[in-house]
Amino acid sequence: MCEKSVQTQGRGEVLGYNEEDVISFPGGLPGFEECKKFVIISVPEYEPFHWLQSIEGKQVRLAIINPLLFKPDYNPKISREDLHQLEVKEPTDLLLYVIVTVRQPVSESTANLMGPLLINLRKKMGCQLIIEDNAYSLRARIL
Amino acid sequence: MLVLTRKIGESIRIGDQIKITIMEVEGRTIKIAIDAPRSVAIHREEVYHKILGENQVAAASGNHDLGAVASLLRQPKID
Repeated sequence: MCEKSVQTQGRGEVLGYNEEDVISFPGGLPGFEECKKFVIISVPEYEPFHWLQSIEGKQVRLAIINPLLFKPDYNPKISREDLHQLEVKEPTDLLLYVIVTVRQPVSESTANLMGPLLINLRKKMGCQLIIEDNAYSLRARIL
Repeated sequence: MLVLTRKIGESIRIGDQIKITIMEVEGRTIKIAIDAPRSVAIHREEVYHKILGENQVAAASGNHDLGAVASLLRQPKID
């Protein structure tokens, strides 16, 4: 196990992570194209949310959640091309998350169902998909 | 910004791996074929812009209140 650490924005904490937990996003994220390496951090206080924390480039921390927890019928169309790009071989390789925007009041917080994060857990690679299906909102209420 | 004029069937090459071909023109709508490596994401501009904007808002949002959202989400719903 190779232990590393990163200083996080604002709170001045130093987070420890293992090299093998690093997920690469070859294309970065729209708006953060230079951030190509992230780790997913889970804190019991924030369950079922997790942090997607960039470990290189700009310090970016995004709250993420499994969309099925609040929208069980969420079923975005994922193309064979998308799966191929992430070298997905089995359905069990796949992890789907959506990015959360915390709002005021917090009960009005939303998640981006139009731009889900697709992660190949086995290959530790991810990307943000853009779903051009009108059914899924950029700002879907979580609560 | 470079502005080129092409006829149907003609192409534009960007770098050595991207080729754009004008396929069809119907009224004010144009069908374009894009040949690019998988590592290059291709999206309709306005949709890409929406995602970019929301990513930036999310990154800047009140993440310190995430605990409050989590508490609310964990509460069993009363129907």
